[in-house]
Parts: sequence; C-alpha cells; structure tokens
Amino acid sequence: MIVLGIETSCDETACAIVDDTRAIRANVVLSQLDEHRPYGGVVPEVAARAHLHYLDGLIRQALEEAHLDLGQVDAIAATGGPGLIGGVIVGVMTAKAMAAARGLPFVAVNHLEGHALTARLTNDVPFPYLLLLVSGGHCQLLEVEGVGQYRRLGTTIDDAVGEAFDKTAKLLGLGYPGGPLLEKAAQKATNPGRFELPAPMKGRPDCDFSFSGLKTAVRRHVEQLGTPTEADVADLAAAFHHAVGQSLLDRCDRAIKAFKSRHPANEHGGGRHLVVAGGVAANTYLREQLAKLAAKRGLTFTAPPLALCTDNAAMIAWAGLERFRLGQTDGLDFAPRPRWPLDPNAKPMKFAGVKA
Amino acid sequence: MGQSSGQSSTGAPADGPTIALGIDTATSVCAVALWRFDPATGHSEALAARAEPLSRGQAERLLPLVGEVLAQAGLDYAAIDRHGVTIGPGAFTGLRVGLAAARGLALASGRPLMGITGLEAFAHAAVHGLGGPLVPAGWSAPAPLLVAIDSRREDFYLQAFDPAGRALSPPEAVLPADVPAFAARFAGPPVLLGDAAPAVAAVLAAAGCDHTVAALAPEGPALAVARLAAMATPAMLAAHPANPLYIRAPDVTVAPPGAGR
Repeated sequence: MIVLGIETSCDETACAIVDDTRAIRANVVLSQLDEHRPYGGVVPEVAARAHLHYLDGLIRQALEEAHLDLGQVDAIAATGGPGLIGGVIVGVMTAKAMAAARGLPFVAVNHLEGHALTARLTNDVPFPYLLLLVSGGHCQLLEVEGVGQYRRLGTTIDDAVGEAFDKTAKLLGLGYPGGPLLEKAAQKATNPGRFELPAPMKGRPDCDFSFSGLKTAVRRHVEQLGTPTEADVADLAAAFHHAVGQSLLDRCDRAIKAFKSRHPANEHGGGRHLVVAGGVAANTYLREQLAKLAAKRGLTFTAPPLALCTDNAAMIAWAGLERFRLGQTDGLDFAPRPRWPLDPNAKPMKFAGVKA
Repeated sequence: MGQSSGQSSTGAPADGPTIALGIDTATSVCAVALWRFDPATGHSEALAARAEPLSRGQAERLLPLVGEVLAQAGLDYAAIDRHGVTIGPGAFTGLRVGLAAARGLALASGRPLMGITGLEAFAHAAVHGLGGPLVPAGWSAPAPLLVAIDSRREDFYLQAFDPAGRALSPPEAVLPADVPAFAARFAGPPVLLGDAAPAVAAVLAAAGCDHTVAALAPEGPALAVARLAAMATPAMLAAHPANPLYIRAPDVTVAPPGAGR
C-alpha cells in the first residue's frame, strides 16, 4: 500500500510518499523561510501564493525521487487543517483533483494527527502512548489511544512553546525563527544560573501550560540590562531553556501519572511510551530533559528524527495511510478546516481555541 | 505518468475531436464546462456547462460539480484531453481554488492546462455568444467591451476589448473615481460585462457617462476557457501557463503563531 501526502498548512510546501512497510519513498520539503523572514513571521497571503506556485512541481519531484508512477499510488492524502486556510485550500484542492482524475481515494488529514502518528512511522510505537506535541502553534499533552482517538490532558492557556521561543529570541535581538537561534546562544552561556526565571505552572494540579509570563520575565531582565552584551544574551537564553524545561517536565510528569493510571502497560507494548513531536522537539536540551524523565518513570522515550519533527509531508502521507487502511476516506466535497481539534471533547480553553 | 492512449503530449488527439474541461472560480461563481472541438470538420460545441453563484464554498463544490458535468455529458475523467482555467483577477481564495484543482487535474492526467484571465474569458464569451447571445439594449457594433471584475475591495479590475475580442488595454485595478476617465480612453459608449458590471454602471451613470450593461449567463467564462483550450494550438497552450494573475500585492499581516490551530 502506497500513499502520497501533501502538506501546505503553514510555511512549508511539502510532498512525500510512504508505504505500509513504513518506508519513506520520497520526502520533499520546501521551506518558505526566506519569503517570510523580512516580516518576522508567517504572512498568510505570501504563504498561500508560494504554496500554489511550488506544489505541483514538488509532487512531480517526489514521484520522480520515489521512481513511482501515480498509477502505483493507492491513495492521496493532504492536510485538511488546522492551519492557514489559504494554504490548506491549495493542498486540498490539488489532492482532491488528483484523486478525482485517477479514481483514487482522498484522505483529509488533521495536521496535528500527522505529528501525533509520526512515531508509529519512525518507531512503530503501539497504541496507547502519551504524546507531548510542542511547536510554534501548539503545546498539548495527549493520550493517543488509536487512529482518530485522542484525549487531551493539557494545553497552553496562552502562548505555545515555539511561540515563546520566537518572542524571546526577538526580545534578545536574535532574529527569526527563534528556536535554533536561542539554542545556539544558550550553548555559549558561561554563567547559566545567573538569571532566575519562573517555571510557569509548576506544581499546578492540572497538565496545562503557560508561557506568556516567562516572556515578560525575560523582557524585564532585558530592560534592566539596558543593552545586553553577548554574554548576557547567552546566560538569559540558558535561563530561558532551564525554565521551559522545568515547566515541561513538571507538566509531563503529571500527565505520565494520569496516563499510567488509565493505560497500564500491556503485553502488546502499549502504555509504555512517551513520544514528543512538533518543531520544538528538535531542541536538543529539551529532548535530553524529557528522555531523563521518561527513564525515571519507566517509559520509553521516543522522538522522531529532527526532519520529521518539523512540518513535513511524510507524516501526512503516513497518517493518511493509517486512516486509509482502516477504511477512513473523505469525499471530494471535503471542506478545508481552519480549526480542527484532535480531541473534540476537550473543554475549550480561552486561548486554546486557536492553539489547540 | 499519464493515461494517454494514442495522444501526443499536447493533449491533441492524433485524430478525432478534442474535449476540454473549463473551470472558473475566480469571478464569484463556481462554474464548470465541457467543450468539444473537431479539427477535421471544424465543428465546435459545448457539451455541458453548470454554474452556481457562489462567492464562498467553492473548495467544497468544485470537484463534485466537475463530476456532475462529466456525468451530464456521459463522459468520465479519462475523456478530458485538455484543461482550461480562469487565472484571475478576482478573489484570491477563489482563483486559487480553481488553479490548484486545474493544476492537480493536469498533473494527474498528464494532459495540458491553459490559463486565461477572467477578463479575457468574459470578453471571449461575449464575442462568441457563450452563455447566451450578447444583446444589450442599445448595442451598437463599434462600442468597446469593458469587462469589470469584483475585487472585493474599493476598486474594480477593468480591461477594455474591441468588438472582436482583442484587448485595448491591460488588466488594471481602477478606483471608482477614476472609472469615467478610464471609459473615456476608448471611443464610443462602452458595453459593460463581468460580475462588477452593475457597480461600474452605477459609477458611470452617476458621472453622466453613456453606457449599456450586457447580460451573460454565469457559465460564460467557464465555457470560454473550455473553448479556448479545446481549440488552442500547441503554441497557444505554451503561451498561456496556468499562473495566477493577482494584480494586487499581498497584504502583509503576520499570522499569529499557530493561527487557526
């Protein structure tokens, strides 16, 4: 079984082809970073134009790299949301048209489910598992019980982690996107304990996140410093990492307790994994911290390779394949969904409405 | 790739007629048409056409509508030799719905795609009587055709054509206050056409400028692109890639991180 997947929900135009032996036959990603960098963030109309401009060429490239003809593909999957609607429309219309022309099934994939199921593509992780989804737009803890079956344990009440990274990097004059730049700065810290920053939500009984206060605390330090030196920036970046790590660990530890009580480890390997996904999972420091926590709690820590943590189409093709083999396909009248929570039963959060 | 049997890469059958699918979602409609052209006899005809007045929801309706139009003509996707699509100007989302679908169809079938501006499509439909004969009250032959498309903003997208359908001006975004001066550039009271024709007529009437408004069935532009694609020579296909005509630069509003997620 071979599935072609398309991803156009943010600022990466991507196409990939995967099969049911978990082989990635092709994985083409075109980042629009250069188009958006001058604005310090993603401009929806610029993104939508770029997706339309590049997508069909990328699909041809993926088929060539996989040495496949569309006649050998069993289904076409595309991100159907959530995301920037102009881009989602480009991917969905292209996929639906390809499916129609070839009489192939079309699968609309929830972008978040793509991230959530990546560990099954890369590491064959059995259900159920605990997932920490951390990216520029998301910060959630989810129990992944099956394809399409999610229970949200916690979510951010304000900023997402990646958003906190971007905003903090901007405060420190590091540029965009913030994650890799902040990490690089933190590695140069000579006195990482010099600044004290709060670990948001630590000790709270729920599993929710908050990062807006942390950003404010960084701003206060920057203002006190006046013009921070390179050493100040490095030490602040390290303090920021430490605070984010403390918060994530505390929240995850609570989620692990809840997850274990509902899903005791079983003989099929279920209930044994802590999976981290999303762009922030590319952060080496946070990965190490989470791996240590998982080990302490007797869980296997799984993080997909970095290239599959950030937005890509292999995860969309894989989630499409998982849905397709369960007989779940979508009609050609599928309407792109700007908002699409993984757990429709989770209580809406004031800010989480747009983040989760 | 490609399902072609006995076809050249230009989608022109080695012998026999060419069938083209036309798509128009750039002008406040969701419209699909099928056109058949037989180069041996010169016979050219519409096989089927449907238009729904939709300014939203085209992403849901377009492909089911293509299926319905094919069924109406007793054809399937494999029968489509060529594709035509309106490339704008118009609502950005609408024009991308049609362009992404048309590019997807062309990619999957390995058959050609031709892009035509919505302005040209209206003019071509008017000149060839697609979507109904063009008989506005007071029509006098040498009058210029002035095609007006709704920009969803303050201005109009305008282009003038002669009665044979040849462009007299490039596509332009024109503010209402500048419309009378725009119309005065062309000899004779204009015949207005397009989804913004009533609004432009109101501006001209207020300025005391003589004009007539033509009525055209909403499937006119879809029929026009299907006809143009069916009859195009390989050189004409190559000269009309399906690239969007936005006219307006993007609004630069940075999305909040994770917007909509």
